[in-house]
Amino acid sequence: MLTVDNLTVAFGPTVAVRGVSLHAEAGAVTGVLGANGAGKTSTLLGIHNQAPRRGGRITLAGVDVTGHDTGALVAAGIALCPQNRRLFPNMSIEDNLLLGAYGHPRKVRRARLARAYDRFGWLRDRGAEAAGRLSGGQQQAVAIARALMSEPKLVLLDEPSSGLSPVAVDEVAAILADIAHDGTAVVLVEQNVRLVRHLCDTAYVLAHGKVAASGPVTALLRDSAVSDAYLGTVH
Amino acid sequence: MIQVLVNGVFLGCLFAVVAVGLTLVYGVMEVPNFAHAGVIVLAAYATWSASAAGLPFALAALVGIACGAAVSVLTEVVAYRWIIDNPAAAPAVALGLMLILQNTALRLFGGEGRSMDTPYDQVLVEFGGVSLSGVKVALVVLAVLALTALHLILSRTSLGRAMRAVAQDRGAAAMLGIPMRRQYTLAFLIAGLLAGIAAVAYAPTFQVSPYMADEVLLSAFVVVVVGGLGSVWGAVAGGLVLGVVEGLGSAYLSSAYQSAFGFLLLVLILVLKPGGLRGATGRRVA
Repeated sequence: MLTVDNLTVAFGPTVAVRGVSLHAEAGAVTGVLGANGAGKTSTLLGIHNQAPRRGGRITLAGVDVTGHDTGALVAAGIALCPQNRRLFPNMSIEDNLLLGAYGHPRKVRRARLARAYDRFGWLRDRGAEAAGRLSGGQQQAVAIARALMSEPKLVLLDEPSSGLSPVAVDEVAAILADIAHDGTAVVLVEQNVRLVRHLCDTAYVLAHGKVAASGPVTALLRDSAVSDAYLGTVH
Repeated sequence: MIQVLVNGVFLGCLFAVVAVGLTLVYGVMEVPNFAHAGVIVLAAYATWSASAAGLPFALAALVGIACGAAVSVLTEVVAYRWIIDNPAAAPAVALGLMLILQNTALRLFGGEGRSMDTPYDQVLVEFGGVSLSGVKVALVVLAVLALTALHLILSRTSLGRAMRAVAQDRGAAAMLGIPMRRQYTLAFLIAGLLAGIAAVAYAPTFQVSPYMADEVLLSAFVVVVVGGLGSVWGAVAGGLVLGVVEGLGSAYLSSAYQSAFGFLLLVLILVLKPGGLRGATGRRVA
């Protein structure tokens, strides 16, 4: 579904991502692990054209989308669920969701809103509430629902478990598994190794902006050299 | 007393229409748009010119409002767009644009004030012992219609929703694929339309001159801060409060210090409520 080839992202003189290549399959959750500053978020932002790319090629379902701006990437089927949710706290839940389908005709927006309410039933009666009044876990669910409003082929998620209680993390995990089960490709950037082990078959470990290791999650986490050097001890 | 209050409301409507244009642009782009005064001036001259050329006043007013929108969009396309990543440059660019627009008016029409006649100049509306000139009634009606239309656009349309989103978190809006440049242009278009409406409503009560909007702009900035930066309804409330305070102050204390009462109000509100009447932690345009 998604193939990233030799992606380089640089903020002025600071090169955050150095030639990262990765692949994500439809119907699976692909993990991206690494310590703080390893280049995980910059990789996602680079794919979504929200960070300055200096090189690389990105294809989605065989179509080269390298030169697309973010609007065109969203239209092509790539949605980003950013770090810290980034909801619009003074706006209603419904407005937040509708913004996820920006640019589509009203009928399409309404139909997708109805589908979001079907998936996240508890949102239906709370659509008029300000998004900023929800708990962290609820906000994360709204952020994911908003990303799904564009009916993407691929969802990029940046640390969805950040700041959540263990119960909320389990709920987020169930939502992500459900999304992948529907055939959507999911790229999950996480520091929560437990969540990655639970959801992902394949993962990439980033260090200093490069892919330091990749492969089946079980094998990566069993490799004490990888775990100790890049993920902290998880034995 | 009631007459003074009504006059204050008239003044407040004018402040609100100008301030909402300013706060909308600030909310979306974080630009203190001093050039708004120049837009009002050119819109007023366009109305005056069209009227002098023989167009009926309603058509001349539409020409003026369209001119305000066009000039406002032009300032965004030619100048503000290029400094979006350098907000420290915005005040200097805004002041420069204001001078360019005012001097354009000076060059084209000279410094002499021109009076603008309207079909309702001689109309006097009286009710309950209060009398209002037709010009003032027209201003209040125009302000209410314009602000109601803006409210509907911001709250009911996809474009308005996107504009509110951009004002709250530009980065998050961009991640959803909302085209930023279109939002910036739209904010300036709406601000320009409001500047045109302010010009059409305000010019007949004074004179059309290159510096006619300076004092109004100053008061409108007070309104923007009093209402809470980026808050449209804060600007409406702030405009009415400032209009009434200035009206009462000049009627019962001294008209020489009319603007000073506004600044006293500004200091008072900033001490009691630093975020303004509708201040929030994040910017917003609703």
